[in-house]
Amino acid sequence: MNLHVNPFVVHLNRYTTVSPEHEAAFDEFLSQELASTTEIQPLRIETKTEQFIRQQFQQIQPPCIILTGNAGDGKTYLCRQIIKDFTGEDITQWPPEVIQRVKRGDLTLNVVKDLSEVGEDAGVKILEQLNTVLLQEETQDVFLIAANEGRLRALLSQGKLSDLHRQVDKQLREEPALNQPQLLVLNLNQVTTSSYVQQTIAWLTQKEYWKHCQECPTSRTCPIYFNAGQLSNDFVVSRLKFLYQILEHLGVHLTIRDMLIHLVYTVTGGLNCQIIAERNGQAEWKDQRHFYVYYENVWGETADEIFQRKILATRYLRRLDVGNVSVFNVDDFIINGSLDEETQKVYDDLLGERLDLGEKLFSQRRFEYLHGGVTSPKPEEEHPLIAWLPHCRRKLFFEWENKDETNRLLSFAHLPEYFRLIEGDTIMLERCRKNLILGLNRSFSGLFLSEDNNAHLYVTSQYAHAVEQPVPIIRTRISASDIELILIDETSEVFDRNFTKLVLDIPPPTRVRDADPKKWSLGLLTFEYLMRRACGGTSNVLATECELKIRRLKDELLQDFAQQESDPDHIFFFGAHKNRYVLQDLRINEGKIQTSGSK
Amino acid sequence: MNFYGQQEQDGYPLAAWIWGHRMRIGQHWMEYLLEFLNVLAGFDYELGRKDEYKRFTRLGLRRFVFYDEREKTRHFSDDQAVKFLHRVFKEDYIAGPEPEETLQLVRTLLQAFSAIEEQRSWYAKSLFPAHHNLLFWEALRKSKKGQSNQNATEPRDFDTGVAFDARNFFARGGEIYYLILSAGTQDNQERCTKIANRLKSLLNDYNQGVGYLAALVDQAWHQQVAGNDDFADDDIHKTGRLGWIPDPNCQLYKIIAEDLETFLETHIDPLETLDLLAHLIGFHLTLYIYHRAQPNMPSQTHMQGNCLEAGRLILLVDALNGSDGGVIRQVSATLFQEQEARIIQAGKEYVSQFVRDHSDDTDVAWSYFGISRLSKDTRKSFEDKKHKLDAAYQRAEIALDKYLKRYAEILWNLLINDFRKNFLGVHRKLSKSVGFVAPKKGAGARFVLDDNILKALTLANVSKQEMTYDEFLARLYLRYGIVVGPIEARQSGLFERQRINVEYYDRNKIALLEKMKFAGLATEYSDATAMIGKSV
Repeated sequence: MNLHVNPFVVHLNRYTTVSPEHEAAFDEFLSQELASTTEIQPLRIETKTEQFIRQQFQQIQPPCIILTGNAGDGKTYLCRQIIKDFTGEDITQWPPEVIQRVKRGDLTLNVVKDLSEVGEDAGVKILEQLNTVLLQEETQDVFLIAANEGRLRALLSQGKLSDLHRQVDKQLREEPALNQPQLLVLNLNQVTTSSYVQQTIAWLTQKEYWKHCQECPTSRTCPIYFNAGQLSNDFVVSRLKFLYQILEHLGVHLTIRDMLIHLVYTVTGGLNCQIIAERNGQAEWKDQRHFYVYYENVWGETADEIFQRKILATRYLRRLDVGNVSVFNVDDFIINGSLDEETQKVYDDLLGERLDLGEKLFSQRRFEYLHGGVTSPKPEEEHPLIAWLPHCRRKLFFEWENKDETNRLLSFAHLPEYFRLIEGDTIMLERCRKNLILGLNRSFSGLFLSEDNNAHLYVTSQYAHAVEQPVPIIRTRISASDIELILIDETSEVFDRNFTKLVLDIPPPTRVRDADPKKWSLGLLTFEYLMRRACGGTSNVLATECELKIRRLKDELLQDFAQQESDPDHIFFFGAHKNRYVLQDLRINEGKIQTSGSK
Repeated sequence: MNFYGQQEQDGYPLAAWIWGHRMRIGQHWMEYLLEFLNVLAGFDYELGRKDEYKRFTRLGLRRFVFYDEREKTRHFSDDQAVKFLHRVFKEDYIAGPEPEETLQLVRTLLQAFSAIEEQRSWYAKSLFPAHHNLLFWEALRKSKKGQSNQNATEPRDFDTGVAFDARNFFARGGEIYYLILSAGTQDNQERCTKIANRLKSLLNDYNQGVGYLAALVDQAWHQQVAGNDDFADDDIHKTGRLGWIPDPNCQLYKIIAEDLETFLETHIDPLETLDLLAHLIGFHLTLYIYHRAQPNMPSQTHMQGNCLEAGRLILLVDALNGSDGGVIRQVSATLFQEQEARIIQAGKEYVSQFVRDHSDDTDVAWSYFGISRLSKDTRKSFEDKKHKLDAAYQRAEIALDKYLKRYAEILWNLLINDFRKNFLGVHRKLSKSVGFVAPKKGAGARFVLDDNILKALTLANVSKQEMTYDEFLARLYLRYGIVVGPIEARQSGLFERQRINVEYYDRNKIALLEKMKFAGLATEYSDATAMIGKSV
């Protein structure tokens, strides 16, 4: 049989690390390949950052720019674009020099495409040169330096660069100093990669790249081709993007490279045309094909352990554990369909005889389950349909437009509230604020405080190895009504950042006047944890992930708001009283102890 | 021999001659902190003192907190005393309508600081020193139940028979730490004052309310005993004298003092600071035991101040927790066993050397090691053997060197029981309690770094300026001999010796970083570099 090979699939296989030639995800590779390829246009993501830097360098006196970010954020790519802009020529090969000098009129642009590649001494030297340039009033030298943040920080802490260190640190911690025309530090970590999912999928599913497949005899049963088709659906893409957004709200930053590799894998499942052709000859392939559909690939289900671990996206997405938890309405739909005609139509469309459901396999199992018959397993055995449930749940997560139900497949009980908050629901804001304070109070004190102990946020401390019942002493308290839950829109003109941050704004207690309010940002994880502590649900879930962060908040509050003892003659603490914990106090007045008898 | 502190001529057990006077197995790990702070406070928060320190008795407070109907060592006097105290306290110190309830509330609050319980009698229990006023010295009721005091009616009679010099639990381990810090800051007055002042502040500037309550409770009792309010003077008349440590110029002492200075710069919750300090002390004293057990380290080496390099420890920390199939764990466990073997070897070596040095008068060992304190049977068996050996030597059946060798053997066999029973386990107990060795119980002990000790070590090594993870690891190796990653494994020679794949050390290094990141002690910026810094 003649082997049909789609060159685009060959190209894609270079991205996934399971294939031996995975170098496509590196800019260094792309630049070389560019010249040779004609048919396939490499992915070109338009980013705000690129536009921004371009504008900067078009000025007569451009600023020096330091680009930081993780490996794969696209630092080298940006450097190349800028050089191209400057010289009008593409560089296909990076020269061996550490600093690449490019001229435009009198201006010299010094490009260091990776500060981590040069040795320690050379690195410090480059930064010293940069420092010198920054100190000059007029200069014809401009720097563009790309570096990993850690490396940059490490180098800056050496040498006599404390001033530069401070500037860089400030811009990294806060934001680029756009009003300061000399030095800009741009941290590509700020980019929310979810912004590029649509663009990337559009490239991956572009019709003309897949037209080869139409002539291929196996295309009807080919999971790769199937995936490319399914992923061109807008709703499916929005769900994929949603997953990326969830990761971002969990504090995970994926680089562009991570995303590319992951999305490519989602399409190919690590397969290629040869493998498909081979397996087509094998009898068991018919029962396996559906394992390679995109909604399984997306979690790296069929990938080997090393791939799963290496690819950041699957490593985190797997933790969301979609498909393994039963949600009644979803399972009910999968097994029973619907009495409503419209909905049943949707059902037939989604869960009928299709390639990704093993052609007839799923329908048969379902029929057997519903109607029994000779093939029914013994009562003590699990029905074969049960094994299909995770698969179908994942499918519905991406394809069933009933998001309220399928979002419950994500193992976050408070996810809907979180995203309603993020979208600016004010009623939700007030309700969550109260619950978050209660959650914090319970977490700080380590006690199941009742809801009427919620007038303040109590910052407590206690002896950790107490032999008897712990008695948390209140070191300071902040009126709950003064604490605000606010949303901060972090849209930026420099980065593609679509992110709204949820922040608890805790003002200092009234007697501590000179302290700044504490702005504590909650990710989805901490939000979930505190809400569970407040609303019930097992508090040990997520405890390891969140307790230390909350502990740190307490430490900071103690340090900033409770450095001085408020009133040594008045002690507030939580003590047991009639089977619950209540706020107690002891006051010492002229040598006599009194309690106001809080009940 | 060079020493620092108060040394008598002789009469110490073997371990004291090597590790100072003294550390004993009976001391609870938290009691090292308690004793140390008691001594420091008893010297008015000054390091480097060699006179007598005050011992806080606070019998009123401790009876109030610990003595009740569940007490295992009930005594007529104490029954009476508590009754008395409660009455007076309610009458004179409590205002408001429900005095009993208020009293119980005060008690609940103070009991939350109970640090040592362990089925002990009330007088051997301690409070965690949230405040200076919660410090008091180990006591012992000497008069047996019902023996005396039956007719006592006066409060002051109830206190008779309680002594403060038992040293069953405050066995001088905290004193050793005091001495180490004093010796380690001999030539750095600034550091010396800084440490003392910061500790003073920790114990006096925070939790003042609790301190105030404790003072009132104790005052209520003293008013009865002394008949006036002037309780302070009466309470502290009992004093104690320090023990001693060898080789005052040992480099390790300086390192320990330096650690503590940096550690105390932190501004986390004072209660947590003290708790972490207890961990740090346990870690430091474990190191001290190991350091002094290193072979071929004459006093001179310590004097010259190069003892750390000359006898660098190799303590491989297992951060992988078995996820590598236990390869690192195995090596670490071997090293742990080696440390213990070295402690025994150091004891044996000391005895041999002693015998060689005193070949002209071998009987001097009797008083030197305080042999008269050992049991009659043990002594008898030793004497018999010694007799036989002496006789053989006099009859010229054996030569001098053989005689000395045999003598060293029987002397060692005499001393080893006490050594094993009272000293050898100290390093296990301490290191396991503070999370430097795992598991807490059972076989397969190996070096680890649990969350608390990891935090304490970070605070003790990273001041305001953060450092890279690699620098941090290098520092742990240079200062303590802790090995985690491949670089230190190579430097220490461990890599050569154990011949396990370098990848294990790499993974070990990554695993520890993960742990530190989780604990908020490290930030990883990119694949290349991680920085270690204080969380607050």
